[in-house]
Amino acid sequence: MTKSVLVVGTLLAALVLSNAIPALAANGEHWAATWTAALQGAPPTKTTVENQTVRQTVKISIGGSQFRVWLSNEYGEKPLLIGAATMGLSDEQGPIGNFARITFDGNGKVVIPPGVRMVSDPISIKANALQNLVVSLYFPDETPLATFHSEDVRGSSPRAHLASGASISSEGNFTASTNMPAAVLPAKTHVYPPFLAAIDTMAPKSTRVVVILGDTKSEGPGFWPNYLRDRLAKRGVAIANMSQYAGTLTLYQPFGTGLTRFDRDVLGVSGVTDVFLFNGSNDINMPGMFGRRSGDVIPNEDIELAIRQVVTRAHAAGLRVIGATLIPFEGVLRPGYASPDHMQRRDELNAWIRKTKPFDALVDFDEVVRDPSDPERLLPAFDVGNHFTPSTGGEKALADAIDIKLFR
Amino acid sequence: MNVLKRGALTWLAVMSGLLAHVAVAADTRPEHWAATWAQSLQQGVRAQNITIKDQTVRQMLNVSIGGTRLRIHISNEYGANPLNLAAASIAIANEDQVINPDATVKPATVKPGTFVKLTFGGSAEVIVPPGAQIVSDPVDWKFTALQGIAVSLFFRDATSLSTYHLEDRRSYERRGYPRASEESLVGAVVSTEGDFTEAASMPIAPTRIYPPFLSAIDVVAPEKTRVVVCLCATKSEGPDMWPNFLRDRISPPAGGGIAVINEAQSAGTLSLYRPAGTAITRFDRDVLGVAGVTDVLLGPGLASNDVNMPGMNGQRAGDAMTNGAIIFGIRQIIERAHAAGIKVIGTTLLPFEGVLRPGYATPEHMEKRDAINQWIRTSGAFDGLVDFDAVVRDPADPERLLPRYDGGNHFEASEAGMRAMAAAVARYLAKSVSHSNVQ
Repeated sequence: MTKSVLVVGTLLAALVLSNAIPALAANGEHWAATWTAALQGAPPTKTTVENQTVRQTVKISIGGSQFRVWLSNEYGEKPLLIGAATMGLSDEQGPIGNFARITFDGNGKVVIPPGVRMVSDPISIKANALQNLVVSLYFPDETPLATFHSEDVRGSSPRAHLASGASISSEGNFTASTNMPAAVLPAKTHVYPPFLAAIDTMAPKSTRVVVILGDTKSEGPGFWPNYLRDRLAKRGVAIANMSQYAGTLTLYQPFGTGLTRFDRDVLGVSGVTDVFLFNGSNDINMPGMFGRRSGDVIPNEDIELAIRQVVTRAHAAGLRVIGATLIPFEGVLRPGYASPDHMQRRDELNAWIRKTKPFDALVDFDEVVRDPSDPERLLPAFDVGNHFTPSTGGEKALADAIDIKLFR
Repeated sequence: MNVLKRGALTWLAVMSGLLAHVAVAADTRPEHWAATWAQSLQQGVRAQNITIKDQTVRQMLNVSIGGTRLRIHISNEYGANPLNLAAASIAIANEDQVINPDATVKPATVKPGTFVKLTFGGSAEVIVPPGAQIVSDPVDWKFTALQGIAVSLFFRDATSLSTYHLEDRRSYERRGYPRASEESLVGAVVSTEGDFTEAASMPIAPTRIYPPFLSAIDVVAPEKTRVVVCLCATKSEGPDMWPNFLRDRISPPAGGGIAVINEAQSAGTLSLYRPAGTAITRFDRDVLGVAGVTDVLLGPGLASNDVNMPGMNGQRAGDAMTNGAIIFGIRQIIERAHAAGIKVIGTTLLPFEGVLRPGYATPEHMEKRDAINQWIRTSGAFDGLVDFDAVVRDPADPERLLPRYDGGNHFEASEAGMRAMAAAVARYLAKSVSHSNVQ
């Protein structure tokens, strides 16, 4: 007895002395993102909650039995107190119960300092690929929803009605309630989903996690990344959509650009293996719009430099970069958008992409959806009507153009 | 994480089967880049409200590993306006120019004929958008491990040096360097008017600056190169600190060719709020953004400052953090590193009994340190551990630094202590399996 205690003691001492504590044995699995959202803080939302529950439903890509969530207070000025949080399954009708508590180091309550995002403890929930998960967060104190994912809900947007948003309860903690009474909000209030940055699941280490670094044309339900997700999820490939409404690659935006958010939105994604870049269109079209000065024009050389920067930074982290050409927009009515100069610049940028091959693999989106007889325009069948957003058929064609062999 | 290295054969096989509208670049296996030097940039604390115009900034530094192909990162992270870099170059520094105890200006001289211009997308000039960083084009240029290098940046337009690395000048003085004054060379100097990016010596303006904009230098290196990021605080920031001694030991080929990247921030904290950011808020940039990173070493000063800083440096005493919150912060760092396939090396906190600053070495703080160290040693949360406390404490009085390892202020190690700490890390790295982020 004494002897074995001594042996154990010696072993422990040896471990400490060798300064080596073995980590948990690797079991062939690691954390992989199965859902993400690009968060921002500008322009600020006016929505504030107090003693209320905020609920968001998201469709994950790959399934699993262990999950964890990332909550972000990146743009908050004050510590963010979350009084309770749960994750549950949801079907088409809404939450179906089975709420699991989301904890942080064992606590159901967490305070997230300004500027910080935090990852929860593992949550045991069984969820299939493409399952809807509902995440509910309860805020006991007055809390501005300062860090959020912006959605394209403009009246002119063809898919505004699909934007998932978030719902806010009347007073109380409803994180464990299937039915959540809704708060009375001013008419037409759309609540941008706040704080939830990502959901990870335990998945084989060989799992590919593809971050989509896109703009309006890739953000939200009904756009090609979701169709790609639906195709790939059952094959165990995760799509992490980090596209931003009105996003740019390098043209200044108060809420960041592809370049400025690269560390967080690409490198910070659990288990990321690939970046899919479909971006740069707004860099051409947006100067002079939305209160911008026309003088803010970004020449193609700067966009090309930015594309190369994304590739360079991704390669430095061992990631593969898949890129896409920009799709046509002739016929857009908004003044200054489909100018001959802009159309020419798109053509030149696409030609540069095809010629210099900056990516590890290229998917020629332009070729997929353009009208062969009028190549500055979307094929009528692939045009939702505004002449720059593809129709559902067009979005599906974009997703289908991506060879699944890329992700083997 | 590293899918690029999963075998070129598979990749080619995949490529041959692609549909018509999928084209592939000819070279699908890019060269492997590893950081050889970096500094953590910030804003806000002792804000650098200095604007230069038609002037050259020259930063003198020592790299970690050597190579024959290099690139630099220029950051405008905290700039409100686009940063217009008009010209940039690197050159081999004269031996005595890099952090020389006896250096009083004039220096910042380089070996003539060693200059090479840096370009960005083929252009000598580049505009770095606010919030962004830009990586230069690769340039073929031979340099050795530990090489002294001068990076010169010329700004034609009025340029605010608002993104900078804060140097703890007190530590220079403590270590016997000339008293911080306008005459002493520290990390970077600024010229009088003119583009001196290709001048061996340049006339130096009296403006003292913290080194701005330059965030990292990468080198093409073998894929198996280990890159260890020291995510640290004051006790590791600056010359003659343990990361530098560690670099001197293990970066040369004979020492293992391991890159040591010092991402220390003066007065840095782990998760205690400060305007310049915390280890957690800068993790994406200062760890995940480092080319080829394989390991992160969590320095002892971060958690130590979480214990000791509330009530100091403008922090409210009410901001005190519980040990539970500090350990939670450490766990967050570990989770984030692991999510990217990076190993985490923990270190124990150094003793600090005897520190004179009121409120620092309180019995409560000492007790908190002991409890955190106990957790670091026994939790099994880290991939590896270097017990700094065991290295430098006084066995006869374990809340104090061993007198010969005491830098004099009773919380920072002396040079001998720093060297002993570096040796402990080197021993750990030599013993632990060499791993990369290829899982």
